[in-house]
Amino acid sequence: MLKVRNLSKSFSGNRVVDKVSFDIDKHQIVGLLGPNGAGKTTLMRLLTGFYPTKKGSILWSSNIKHIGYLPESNPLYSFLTPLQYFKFICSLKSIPTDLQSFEINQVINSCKLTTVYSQSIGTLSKGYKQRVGLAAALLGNPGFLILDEPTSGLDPKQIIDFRNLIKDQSKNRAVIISTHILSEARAVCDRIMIISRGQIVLDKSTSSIKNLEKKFLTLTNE
Amino acid sequence: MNKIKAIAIKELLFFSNSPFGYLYLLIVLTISHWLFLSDFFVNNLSSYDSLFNNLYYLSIFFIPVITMNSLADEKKQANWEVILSLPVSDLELLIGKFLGILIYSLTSLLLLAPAIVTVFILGTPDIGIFFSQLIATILLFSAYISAGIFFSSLTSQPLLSFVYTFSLLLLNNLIVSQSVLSRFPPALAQLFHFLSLSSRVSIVSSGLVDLTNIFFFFSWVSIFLIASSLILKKRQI
Repeated sequence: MLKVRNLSKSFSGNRVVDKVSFDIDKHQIVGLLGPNGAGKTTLMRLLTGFYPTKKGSILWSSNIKHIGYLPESNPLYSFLTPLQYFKFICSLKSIPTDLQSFEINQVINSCKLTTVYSQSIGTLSKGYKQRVGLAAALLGNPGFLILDEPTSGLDPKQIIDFRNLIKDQSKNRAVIISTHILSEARAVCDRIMIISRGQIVLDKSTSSIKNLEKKFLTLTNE
Repeated sequence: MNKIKAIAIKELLFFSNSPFGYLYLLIVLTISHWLFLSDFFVNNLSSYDSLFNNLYYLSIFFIPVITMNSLADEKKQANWEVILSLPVSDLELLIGKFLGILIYSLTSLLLLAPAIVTVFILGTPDIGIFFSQLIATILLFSAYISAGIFFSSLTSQPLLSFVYTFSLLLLNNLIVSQSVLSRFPPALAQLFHFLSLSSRVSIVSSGLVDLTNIFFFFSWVSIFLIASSLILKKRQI
């Protein structure tokens, strides 16, 4: 589904992502763990195409039409309603006009936004804003979902709700979640990749990692 | 084309869904009419010269106000990260923003209708000159907006973008005043005059809507939009 080979990215000579290689298959939830500044966000920006790939390669399987992306800060336009925002994203994703209403209704239902979709985004709670961001990422039924720190700033109930939402969405697609919360990675992900100083230092299934905290501290000790 | 249209509509919604958009139009409307009516009956001329000249000067301040958020805020809030991860080119984003802001700025022309109708009722203004002045305004707004978008692409601070754009537009107008031009060697003065938007606008609004001047404005807009796309390509956050 996704093949990444020797992917690198530097800023002013400083290599932030260093020869990273991995494969991700369908229906997998992959947790990308690492301390702050390890290169998680840069790697995600490379995968989404925000940063062009200059060194290495990213190969998507041909059935992937869209990638859904939810950045760390969940940027939304506070002056729009979720409905207006979804229409905007549909147009940018080139979803045909006759399919847009169907797509929008589907994400409104799956992300439980039925009561707030015509309300201004600026007036929504943090939890609902996060759902709006996720719903926008899900438009066009993307085969791959990239979520950068999706639960940061949410209260415990919102975190549980959001984790369940992510698990639901992984039934139809692969998901890659960046986080530095180990318990979250363990609760949600099938597979964990630890990134440190731009390199993948561990890539294993969650069930095969016995002491994640210890392993994380050992591998990311800078 | 649908993506450009969607981005332009989103820009328009920014102005129509926020108090800022209405406040801006109200201020432009009030100041334009106040300046126009303050000397209209004294001059006793059925002409729009004073109305449009005031608008040209006001736009030096007001266009940077409406362009300052265009890219700076997208960068600050990280919205551009979402948009540019979608199948949208940098140029589509810029053209969409340019058209959205241009359409919004032209609504201020619609609000000048009371002044325009008043002159039509009281006298017989030259219709040809009136249309030339309208074309000159559209060309000038386009040029100012493209410069505003360019400076907005350089920073993630809207206020800085405003200061840069305002400074350039002010300089572009001041540099062709006789008192400034007379201090430069003739060749340089001629170059400044050639590059100045205000001298081109005076020519177009006087009724000389020729291809050379239209091409000049078109080039100005293209250069600034292409320069903005080169800045965006760097993806500097």
